[in-house]
Amino acid sequence: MIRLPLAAILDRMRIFGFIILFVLSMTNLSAQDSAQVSVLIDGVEVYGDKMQFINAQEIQHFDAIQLSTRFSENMDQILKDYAGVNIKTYGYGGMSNISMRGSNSSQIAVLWNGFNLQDLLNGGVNLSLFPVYLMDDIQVKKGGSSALFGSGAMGGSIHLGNKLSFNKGLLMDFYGSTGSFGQFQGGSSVRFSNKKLATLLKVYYKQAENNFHYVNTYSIGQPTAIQDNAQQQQLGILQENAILLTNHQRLNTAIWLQKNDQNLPPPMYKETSAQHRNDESARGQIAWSYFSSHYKVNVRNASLFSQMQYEDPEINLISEHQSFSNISEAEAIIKLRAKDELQFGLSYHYEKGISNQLQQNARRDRSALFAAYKIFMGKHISGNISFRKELVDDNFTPFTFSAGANLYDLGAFSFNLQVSKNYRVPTFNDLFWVDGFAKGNPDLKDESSWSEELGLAFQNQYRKQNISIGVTAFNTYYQNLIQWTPEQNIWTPMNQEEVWARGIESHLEYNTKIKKWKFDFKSRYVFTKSTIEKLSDANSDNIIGKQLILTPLHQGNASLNIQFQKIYIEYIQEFTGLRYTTSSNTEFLDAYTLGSAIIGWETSVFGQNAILKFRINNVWNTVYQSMPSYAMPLAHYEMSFKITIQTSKKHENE
Amino acid sequence: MKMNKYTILLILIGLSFGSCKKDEVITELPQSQNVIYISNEGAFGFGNASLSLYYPDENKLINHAFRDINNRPLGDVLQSTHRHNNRLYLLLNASSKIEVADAITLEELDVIQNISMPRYMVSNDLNGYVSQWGNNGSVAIIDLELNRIMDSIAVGTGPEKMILTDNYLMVCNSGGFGVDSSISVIDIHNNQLIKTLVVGDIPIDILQLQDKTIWVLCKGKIIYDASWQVIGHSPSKLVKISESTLSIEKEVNLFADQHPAQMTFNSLSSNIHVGGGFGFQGIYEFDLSTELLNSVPLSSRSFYGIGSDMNGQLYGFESPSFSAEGKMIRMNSQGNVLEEYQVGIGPNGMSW
Repeated sequence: MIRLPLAAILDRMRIFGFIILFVLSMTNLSAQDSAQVSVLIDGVEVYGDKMQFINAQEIQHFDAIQLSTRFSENMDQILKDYAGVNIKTYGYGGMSNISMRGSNSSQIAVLWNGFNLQDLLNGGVNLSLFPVYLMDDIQVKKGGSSALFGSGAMGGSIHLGNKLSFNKGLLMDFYGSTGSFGQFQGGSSVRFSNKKLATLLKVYYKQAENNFHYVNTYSIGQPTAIQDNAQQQQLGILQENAILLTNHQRLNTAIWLQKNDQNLPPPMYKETSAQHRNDESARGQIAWSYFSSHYKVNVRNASLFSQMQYEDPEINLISEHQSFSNISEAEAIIKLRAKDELQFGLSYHYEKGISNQLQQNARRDRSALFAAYKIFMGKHISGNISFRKELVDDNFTPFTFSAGANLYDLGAFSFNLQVSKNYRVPTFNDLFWVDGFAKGNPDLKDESSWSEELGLAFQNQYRKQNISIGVTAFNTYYQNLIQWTPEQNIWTPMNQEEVWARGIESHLEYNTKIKKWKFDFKSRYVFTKSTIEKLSDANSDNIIGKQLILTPLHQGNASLNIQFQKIYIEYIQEFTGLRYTTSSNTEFLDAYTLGSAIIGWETSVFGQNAILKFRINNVWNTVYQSMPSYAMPLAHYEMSFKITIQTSKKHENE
Repeated sequence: MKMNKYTILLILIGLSFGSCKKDEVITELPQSQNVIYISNEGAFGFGNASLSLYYPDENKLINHAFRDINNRPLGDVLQSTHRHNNRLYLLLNASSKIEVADAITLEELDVIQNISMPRYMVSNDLNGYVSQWGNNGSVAIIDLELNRIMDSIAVGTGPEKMILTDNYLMVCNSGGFGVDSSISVIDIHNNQLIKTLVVGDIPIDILQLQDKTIWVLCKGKIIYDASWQVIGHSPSKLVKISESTLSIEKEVNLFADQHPAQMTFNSLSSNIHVGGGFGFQGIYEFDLSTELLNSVPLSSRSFYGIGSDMNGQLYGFESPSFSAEGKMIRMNSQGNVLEEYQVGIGPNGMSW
């Protein structure tokens, strides 16, 4: 790594300051620009402004309308149903991680309004703590995009946010849901907006016993058992505001508080558990934007705090981990000609971790300079390129970039080509962990990957029929992967492992309308060959070239939604292929396929819109495991309703 | 028309998927009494601990024996096995249970629950004794007829290996997740703790030889400062204990900064072999006649566990990765390799 003298660091800070001044000075230059950019005022962007540098073909988008009927579900459920990604669940209601394109969960960035929520200490994101109800908009980007979104976006990224609109009046809703295994939840949201202010408050509460029956294949006689010590409570509050300061300036604020209290059930190989886990997080954001017809400036800050407490009375263990990060970012987007756009900016991260298992003063400073450019050439060709260079404490990380081209509107066809180099900085556990059994390694390098993809899409509309078919081939080589290995008497992480992931993603979607009937079919299939190419084990002959553990070769989902006037029925089938549980591929979890059925009715209660929904999960009583030895329930149900109260004519007219 | 779920899926997405890979499954075991039980810990949290069997008379090794015979997984982290007459006790540390099976056919007989992180077991005609890490460290007394816990005796923290003498149960208190330095001595006639003998840092293994001599292996420890930087070591050593006086007769330092975790008595050389554990390289011979450690190792390989069989052959167990299979290395008593075998994940030792 390159070591910098103090003078060089100070120089760099001066450059940082210069860029901020440059970005801010542009607001003065445009103060005389009276052109109003209505689109920027009308809808408030939910992700910052980086998503526009990605080709739309690469993104799977769940908008507010699609999510409006999934209000009682967690994020992992909707991704399992529709996104063709690998969700690893540690038992029903337990921790749920996402991976895609042969990555692990710490290589998938989950961003809220553009800020990465990956845990500082372990790099993971537990999607079971993310209720769909709190978000209006979810976007799934498969493939690396670290140059745009920073560390962690190696295998893909998930983008979450709410969309606030001005001048829409008052809108409220509340929902309730009950289901199998003592599940109860409810929530409410209030939105108000006028010409200058848009505000949103969402609150939800959820509790569950999770005491389902299952066949314990580990126990003598393989008896039917009841899941024990699995109670769970969740509470979340989200509040967001958008204030139009002038015709050219907007201020956004957001606060998200979340608490999760749950007992951890024993895996099937153990009879009892008294383990308990408590997660709390507080996240806040403030963003100021200046916009004109030719450019836009964003200055943003986010503070993210999370705390996890874990108890295991059996071994008298109480472990508490806290992390805090503050992210400041300034960026400018300039329209150069026609639709061409240039974006550049810089960000600064302050990160701190506190835990009994971390060295004292476990902290990190990260500064990054980034730029992106999107160009349109003629009517059918666009290109994009983005760069990022990051300084972590006094060490530069490798240069990362992304470059792509998109050929579109070639009849019904379009093509997409993307090449990128991506990275992930080590977690705090990797760097600072210390106890008598394991020790972090402060000299770790970043994990990195080279990724290429080629996509072909066909999209056609004929009368009232829409069809969309897409195939993407991807190839990713991960290097310097962090692997914990025994050294002397303790375990320590090293940059030793290399993984080669390649495969195909495909989708087929079709919808049509026949008189009062609507038909909507969606399907996705993913083939992922992800093999270990290098690792530190001396005895690795039987591991090299083998499929990565818990990564299925085949994965898919399909759904058919039939709507007749206000009633709809949907059937969803998901398939997860065989997953190896040993690096030598000698043991595996069986493939499984799950079916879910939903019937919904949109009606009117006291003149207000209402949705009633009944869902049966695992309708075919499939016995399966998502993670080894964690029981999952057979068929179970959920009933839910949501009422939306509109008090403004403006909403009715929408 | 009735369609099953698989048909629906295939029609919907128009694709077919490969079928599951099939393992070779053992349905019957050799009837030999001469069998070595190899405990494979598996990957912690994955529930894939396994038992391998080695038949020295036939030079035959069988993996996943318990799973294949009983058509179910064994559990998580098989710490050790103990044979009592025609029964085999399999101690699963992270499952907090003991599986009981027929020692020859391996057919499941019973399971002992309500035990907390079991480590090792010894037995006499009356009772079994199981060291357990949970609940601050104790020894559970097992009724071998009913396979149920009768009582427990509080000992030091992290109790590990034990021996049963004519009068006493002697327990190594390793400290578990911390450090202890004592041997608990229990009178087996009334199951009362009668003495705690301080021997050295992390006593982890204990043997009683035919001449009634008792030897304790103290692993020694790494010494850290407040910020977990290594500032020194306490040496590993062998401690000789007198059963009659319950006192230390002799201490022999082994390594100043190396920490072996296992020892085994080799019937052919009539010496003790020391080795095994993370970060420790080699198997060394402790000459019982001179009571000195031979500085030249019998083997220079790194083993996670070691053992000796009834014929005096030496075994080393390599666990380079806890996500893939390890190896058993069979050697003669001088450490020369005779044959290597693939066993389960994380092999840590053997019993017979």
